[in-house]
This record gives sequence, C-alpha cells and structure tokens, in this order.
Amino acid sequence: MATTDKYDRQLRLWGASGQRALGNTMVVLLGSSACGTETLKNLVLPGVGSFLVVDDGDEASSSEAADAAAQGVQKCPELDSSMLQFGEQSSNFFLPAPSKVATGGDDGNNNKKLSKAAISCALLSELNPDVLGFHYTVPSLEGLDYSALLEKIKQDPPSDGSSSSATTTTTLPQKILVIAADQPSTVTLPLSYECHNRSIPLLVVRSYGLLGYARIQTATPYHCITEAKKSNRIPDLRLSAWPLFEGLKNVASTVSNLDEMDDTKDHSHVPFVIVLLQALDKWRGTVVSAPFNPDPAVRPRYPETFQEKEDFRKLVKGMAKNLNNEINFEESIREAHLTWVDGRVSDEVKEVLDRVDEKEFFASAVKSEMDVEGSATSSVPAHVLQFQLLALALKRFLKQNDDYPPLEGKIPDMTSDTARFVALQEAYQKQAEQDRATICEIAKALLDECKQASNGCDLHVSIPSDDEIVTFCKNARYLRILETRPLFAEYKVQDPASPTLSILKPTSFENIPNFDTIQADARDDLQSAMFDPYETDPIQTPLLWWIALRACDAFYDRHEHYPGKHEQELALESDANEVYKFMTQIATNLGLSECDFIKEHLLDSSKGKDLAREVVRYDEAEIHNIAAVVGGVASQEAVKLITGQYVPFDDTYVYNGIASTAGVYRF
Amino acid sequence: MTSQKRSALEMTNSSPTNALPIPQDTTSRPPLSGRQRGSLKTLLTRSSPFANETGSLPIGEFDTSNGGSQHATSTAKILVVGAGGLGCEILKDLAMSCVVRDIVVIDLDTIDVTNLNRQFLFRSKDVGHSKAEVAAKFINERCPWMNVEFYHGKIQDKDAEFYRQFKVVISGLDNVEARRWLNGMINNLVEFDEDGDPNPETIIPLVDGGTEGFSGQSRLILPRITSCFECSLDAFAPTAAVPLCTIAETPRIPEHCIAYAYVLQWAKEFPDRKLDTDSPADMKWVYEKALERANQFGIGGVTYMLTMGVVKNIIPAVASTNAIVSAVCVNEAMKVLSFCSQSLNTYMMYMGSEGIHSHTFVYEQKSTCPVCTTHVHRMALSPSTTLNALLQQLCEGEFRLKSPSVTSSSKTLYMRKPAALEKATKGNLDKPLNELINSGEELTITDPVFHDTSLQLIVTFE
Ligand SMILES: [Zn+2]
Repeated sequence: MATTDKYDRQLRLWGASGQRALGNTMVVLLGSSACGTETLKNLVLPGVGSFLVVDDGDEASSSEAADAAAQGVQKCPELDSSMLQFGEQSSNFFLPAPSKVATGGDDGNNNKKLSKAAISCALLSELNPDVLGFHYTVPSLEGLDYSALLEKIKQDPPSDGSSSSATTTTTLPQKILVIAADQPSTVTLPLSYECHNRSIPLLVVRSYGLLGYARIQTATPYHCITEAKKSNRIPDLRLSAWPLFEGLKNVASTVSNLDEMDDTKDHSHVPFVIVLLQALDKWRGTVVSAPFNPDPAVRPRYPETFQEKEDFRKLVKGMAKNLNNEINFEESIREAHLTWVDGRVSDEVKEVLDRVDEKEFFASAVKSEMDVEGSATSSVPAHVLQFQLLALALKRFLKQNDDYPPLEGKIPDMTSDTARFVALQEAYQKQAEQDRATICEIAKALLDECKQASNGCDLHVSIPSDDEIVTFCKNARYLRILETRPLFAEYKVQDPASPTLSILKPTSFENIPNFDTIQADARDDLQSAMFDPYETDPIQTPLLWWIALRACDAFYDRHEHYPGKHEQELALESDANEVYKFMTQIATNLGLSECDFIKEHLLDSSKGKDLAREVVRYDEAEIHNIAAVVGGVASQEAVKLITGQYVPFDDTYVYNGIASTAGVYRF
Repeated sequence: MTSQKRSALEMTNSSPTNALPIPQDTTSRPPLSGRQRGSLKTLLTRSSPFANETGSLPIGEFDTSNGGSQHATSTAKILVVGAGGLGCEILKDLAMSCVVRDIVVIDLDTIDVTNLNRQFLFRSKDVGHSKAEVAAKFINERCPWMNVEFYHGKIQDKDAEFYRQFKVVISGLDNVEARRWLNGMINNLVEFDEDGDPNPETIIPLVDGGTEGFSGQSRLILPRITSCFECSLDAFAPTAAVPLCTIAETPRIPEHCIAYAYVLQWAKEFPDRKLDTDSPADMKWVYEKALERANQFGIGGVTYMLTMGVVKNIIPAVASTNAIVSAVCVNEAMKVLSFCSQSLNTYMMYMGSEGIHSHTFVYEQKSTCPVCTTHVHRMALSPSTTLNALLQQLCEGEFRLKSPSVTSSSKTLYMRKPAALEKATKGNLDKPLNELINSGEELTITDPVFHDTSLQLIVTFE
C-alpha cells in the first residue's frame, strides 16, 4: 500500500473540509431497524464523529427498558463474541433476531439483557474505531418527549468522558443530524415538529416490503450549498466581459498577430483563449453595422445571431494554417461559444441572494440579552449566518461589478506551450485573488456595520477563514439553498383526518415560513411528474406506490397496526379495500384526482386496487435489500447535508423494488 | 419559542449527569418494536398481482404452493464475483435475505487500507489478506445459516463446468476487462435446440453492478435474451490519453508532470524494473520527480494524493453508492430465483451528485454484438493489407480486442496459443491478405477478452 489513509477514496470526493464536517457531526438514529442501521453503517464507515442509537425495549422486558431509560444515554457496551455471531436468521446485519437479544450478553449478573439499541450500537461501533457510539433505551418511541431529548443532546452532547464538556471550548459546536427509521406517524410527526423548531436536519427512512423511501427535512431556515460540485461547469474565462480584466489583456498583448506568425510550431501552440480574442477583433472589423469604436468605455459587438456565430467560427477556421495539425484551432472552434457566453450570475443564484437581507441578517447576527447567559444560540444557526454574510458580500460585489461574480481563477487545460499557459493561468489566479480580497473587505465592512448596530453586544458570526472565502468565491456561480416543507405539515395536507395529528398542538401548523409557496410549487411539480411515467410499464411509476405507502400509514393511524397482519384471504381483501379507499383520498388531497394518469392507474379501481393488494401482501415486511437501498440513498444525502457539498434531493426519494424504478418527488 | 428554550435549559441544569428525564408515555400501547413485521418469507408465501410473469420481462411463474419458491432459493447456488466494495455488500445482502444458503465468492485481490472506508467485512488487522477469504469467513461466522466458499484467484482460472453450477451470478467487478470476460463466459453457456432456440435450463441470469463516486448502475442480463455487457461497451469508453509530445515538451497541468515522471523518467531510470504502484518508495520517487518537473515549468498542484490518483487511475468510492447498487443487484437476484416479483428490465442508472437522477430503461441488444448475437461482420480492405494490420484494426476499432487469433474456413491463419502453433503461424502476420484468403471469405476471430466467443468476419477486397 502506498497510502495509509483509509479515507483516501472518499477524500477525493469531499476533501478535507468535508471530512472535518463529518467528524464534527453526531447522528441520532431513532429505531434500529435494518433501514436505520444500514443508513448508519454508511456514515460510521466514512467517519462521522459520533452516533446515538435510540430505540425502545422489547415488549417482554418493558420494566428493564424503563430501568435502562432511567440510566440515560450510555456509552457503547463492550463487544463480546456472542454479539458477533447471530444464532438465528436476521434481516438486520447489526441486530440479531429477537430471541438472540433476549439471551444476549450479561453485565455482571446473568439476567441483565442488552437492549436492541445497545447491541446495534456495539456492532456499528466495531466498524470504525474513529467513531464514538452511544445508545439510549426508552420505554417507547411513541410518546417520547422529543423536545426534551433534542434539547438535551444539543446542549449537552454525550461524550466519551476523555474530555469533559468544560474543556471542549476549542472544538467547534457539534452538528446534529436525526434519522428516523421505519417509524409510524405517531413518531415521525412530533419528531418532525421538534427538529423543525430546533433547526436540526431530519431524514425519515422507510422500507416496506419491496418499497421504500427517504424523505429530507432540511434544517431551518434552509440548507446552504456552497459547493454544489456541478459536473460540466462552464469555464469562467470572462471573454465577453468588457473591458477585459487587466491581467488577461496583458497576456493577450504578448502574443503577436497570428496571421503574421511564421513559426508553425508557435502558431499551433497559441492557447485558444488568445486565438478567440484575436478572432473577435478581426470579426468586429468585418461587421459593418458596428464599426470599430476605440472608446474603451463603449462595449463593442459580440456575435449574437446564429449567422454571426457561424461566421465567427468560419473566421476562426480560416485563421488556422493547417487545421489537421493545429489542435489549438480545433479547440478554438469547439470552444467558440466561450467568446460570448454570459459570465454574469445566473437567475438561480439571484434567487438565492434574494433570500438574504442585510437588515434581517443584522438582527439575527447580534446576540440578544436573552441568550447571552447560557445557550449562546441564535435562531439562525452559525453556519447559516456565515453563509448569509458571504452571500450579502457577494450581493454588494455584484452591484459594483455589473453582476459579474468573483472570478473563479481556474482555466481548463488547453493546447499551448508551457510558458503562455502558465502566464494565462497566473493572470486568472491573480484576478481571482483580487476579487476574493474585495469580497473579504466587504464582509468585514458588513460585520462592522452590524457591530455598530448591535449596541455593544457580541455577534454570532465572525469573519470566515481564508479557506472558506476561497471556496465560496470559487463556487459563487453555483450557490444553492434547499428548503423543504416540514413533514408534519405536509402530512396534514395528505391525511387531514388522521387521528395522529391530534398529538400536535393546532398552533404547530401556524407560521411555517414559505409553506404555502413551496406547497404550491410542489403541486405544480407533482402535476408535471404525471407526464413522466415509467414508460416500460406505467403502473410501476414510483409515485403511485408512494401513495399506496402513505395509505398504509393512514391505515396504521386508525388501527394501530399495519395492513396485511392476518393471512386469511378475507382479511387481506378487506384490508386492501380500506387501503384503496385511503389511496383515493390521498390522491385527491394531493390535488391529483383530475390527472389522467392518476385516473387511469389509480382511481380506476380494477387497476388501483392491485396496488393496494400488493402493499397489503407485504405485512410491513422488512426486506434487507430494500432497507439497504434506502439506507444507501439516505446516507449519501446525509453526507450532502453534513458537508454542504453536492445537492441533496428535494425532498422524497421513492424506490420501487418490484420493477426497480425510482423517482424524486415533492408530495 | 423562548419559554420552551428556558424550560429545556432548566432541565439541563438540574441534571448534571448524562441522564435524560424519563419521558412520559402518553399511550397505553406496547412499544412499537414489539410489532411483528413480515419478511421476504412472507412475500414468498403470499400471491401477488405483480408476480414475475406479469412484468415486462417475464422469466418464470411465481408459485406459492408448498413453499415452492423458498425451496428454489434455499437450494440455489449463487456466484458472487468480486469481494470488494460491491462484493462485501452483496454477500451481506444475500445473507440477510434469509432464504439462500450456498454461495461461492471469487476475488484475486488482497485487502488494502484504502478499502476500509467501505469494504465493511474487513478490519485493519486484515490488511494484506485475501479479500475473498476474509469476507467469506466474516459472513459464515456472523451468519451461521450461510455457507460461503471462497476462491482467491482470477475468474479466468475457472472453466465452463464451474460456472454452470450456479443459478445466478452477481458481478461486482471494478474493471471492464473482467466484466467482458465473465459476460462472454455466461453467454457461452447457453445451449440451443434444433430450432435455434436457447435452452432455458442453460440460461444463467447475470446481475452486474458498477459504481464511480456518487453514481452507479445495476443491470440484469439474461444471456441471449436481453442485451449483454458487450452490447454496452461503448458506454465504457477508455479515456483519451494525453499525447506523449505534450507530456514531453509542453506540460501545462500537474497531471502532465506526473505522467512524465512515471511514463518516461521511470523507464529511463529503471529500465529493468516495473513501477510498483503499491510501494511507498516507488510512489514517492514518482511524486518527487513530478514535483521537480512542475517547479521547473512553474506548474502548481502536484501533490502525493494527485500522483497516486493519476498513476493508479483511482476512481473515488464511497460506502453509500456501493450499498445502493449492490442491494439493487441482490434484489434482482432474489426475484429471478423466486419469481416473487417482477424483474428489472434491464438497466438502472443512478446519479447522485445533483439531487438524484435515476433512470430505469430497456438497454437494447446491439444487433451486431459479437457476444450475444450471431451477426456476421463485414469489412472491406485493400488486398495488400497485411494480416497484422487487420489484427491491429480489430484491437483499435469498435471491438476493442486484446489479442485476437484468426482462422479461415480452410486453415489457421494466426494462433497465439499454444506456443508451437504461434511459431508456425507467425510468418503469416506480414503477408498481404490476398495471399492468405479469397475476397468474401468468412474468418473466425477468437480473443480471450470475451472467453470463447468468436467473431465472424467476412473480408472483401476493395
Ligand atoms: Zn451483447
């Protein structure tokens, strides 16, 4: 082996900063089902900081569960060999079948049993010695005070005891991500509400027979994406920005007129950036409608119409001495569009910037008297404030710069001699550094203004590190935010008559910012999703199956068990009838009852009832393959939510293991 | 909001230990986990409106009587090819299905420390040991109901007789060449009756998975019925190499400097020794030379990590993508063994960088595929083309052959093996084709790249 870093293969994706973010996160798993432990496995392996498994005790040992609950959060138990060998078949790689749990390890006296949370914690910890595992057993996940639980974890996260909480002032505040695995609405709804209130991101994962889904609920106010890691980024060359920045102008001026260049080797090694700039000058000379104006303040012409662009390409072609041997000219023709591509920020970025406001930022950045003692938290999390600060700096920068963002400072490889390429690269880098310095100054000015308005109070936000500013500027063209609707509010739309909703206070549903806007957007999206069915066999379109799953939730809310429990033909058919009734109600509540696709495949009972029969057949089966697919998807999204890199889906991923189709929807 | 925060704080202050308050259980229900959930076995015993025969790629009929399909799964022998990122997941998924037992796993690799972020059946103490062996042992120990045998070696070591014993083959290979060979082998096992129809007994479903970073794909190959791996070879195009003159004369980016060090400088400095990419000393040498060259040209960005990536052509890999692709593959394997649900028809793509783009579609058979069709290819060549030039063309063109051998209907034109035959036919390589064959003659080309598959080629003279 030539490297000792076990994380090498993933560092190539999310880098050291992503790895640090992972290491600084605690994942809280509610429910140690296969879907939950598989999700957690894929986070323990890449090195999440710590995790806490919360689950309830077995029915038989509820008194012991109460005992365990009284003990609070526990450190990972010692592994004993009996844990590493499952006696009976299990569909969960980190939890033996129930009978095994009952006879599990002992702790001094033989009748002391280890809970599911304890065993899965031990088996997951064993995967990676870098990760700290904790567990907590409660009498029941239903009716648990999630407000108290989350507040406790936030204020006083469990630690391994090697560093007492008093001496951890140097470490960054730990981030929390909550995952609810295979939990009914009686758990997910109150949990969703409490996470929403505390700005904690939540993932809800579910495997159900051959179906499964993962649902993201972003932390409030929104999830910030600095590094979208877009594939196919357009090179930020600024050829159409007028005037050209000084450095580029200088390098371009060092290259003599291509037409007069005698040395064929030299001619074939002029980088395409410079070929295109010379071609542009030449092309302007040919445009009669806009004669050359030497005034640098006047923006000259660029190829605009299709014909002009074609003419320009032809002109470039004509400049080659021998096209077959001049790769730089081949590249020039291929990349000709970079001559006129608009380097200003996109509407998508502007939408992001529209969401940040200086006044609001000033208000939330200042530590109020109220929270000075103790918590030192603001309702807007520190990393969001940091993002907002830079976004506001970018906003001012754009105003001064005709909407051009800070230069990225990276050029693609192109045919060239070394010296010219290096000089070109340096010119871009230098300008990028200058732009970054400007952003930094603006950010500092913003903080100063903020301080002046703060009446001497401290701020929740400070100037970001150089690395953070570099990353932000390099990715300014691709900034994104993601804001989902809270699950509990969405559920109310889908099944307003659900008895589970009574757990939540009616006031919970008030004042959910942007709910109506996102809800309206989601409706539109869902309607258009109808036009994109799985063509090979439309009934296998995942969104139909999600409706069937939500109908099973509705069934559970009324019966306290899932459909298909009793195997008799009549019982199955009666459950299917009821599930089908819920399906039609949910489709209607989603505003889909007028869609032809839904009419044909769901509201037509001869077809729709088959969907109901299939989900009833499952008896809420835990099938490992499905749990592993959902666990894989959820853990990948968790990494995105933790690192702020890549773009998470918005907001529900559905996997249909019948025909292996998948889709992302907002319901 | 504020009052809520207050009460939580008071709670914290009053409980200095890690103990949480006992939550009030407002329900009288038993804990949720007490509920009994169904399992894959439940599905195998209950009929379905979406059984395998109802799907768009029907393979067999689902039968719930007498636990019929459960018998089929529990007696089926399954081959897992590869015990790496996908292989570890596949073995676990099979064990956790609780309805299969007999598995053989093949892998020639040994465990490296960089495997540990995703190949979860290995621990640091296992570094240097056989992947297949450690993985099989892990599964057999944790899951005593499983019987996993292992083979530490190449897939090419095994013959048709070996491959014939399996009911399904699941492939988690990381390189195109091995996947081509395996695909050729499994396709070749199909026998045909007098009417030219494939004998269903000899069709062994091949489930193939692959990943790269946050993307991956799973597919179901029914040899001679659906498209095969070779049909999609174009999708796995080799990346274009940087021209040697750029590396030698006009380096611009760090990759060029690294290529200079390990391609040109190494060969010059150590003409008798191949670069050992697993040796820290060798890799350090390459890194230092690359850095030296980069400094000389004013090029930044040469790091040890990048050097490793370029020299070893490292593809980023994470636990999550492996989990997804493997589980989709094993799910398909379970369905083709039990027919308890429909089959993937035939290709599922997963792209997870920007949201999730998932696409399931029928990958069409390539009508000229040399492996799964009997298509006769045609080529028009100048009569003076040498046999060697023809072979060159077969390697560089769409077929991407590695070391082809050629026979005509009447004689052997060139054979690589055995050595004696190679010696006897070597002389033909430089002869023009018109001295060896007639225009319009059909040639049979064989190549180890896809096992025993042969390619039929008619050469006409221009
Ligand atoms: Zn084929």
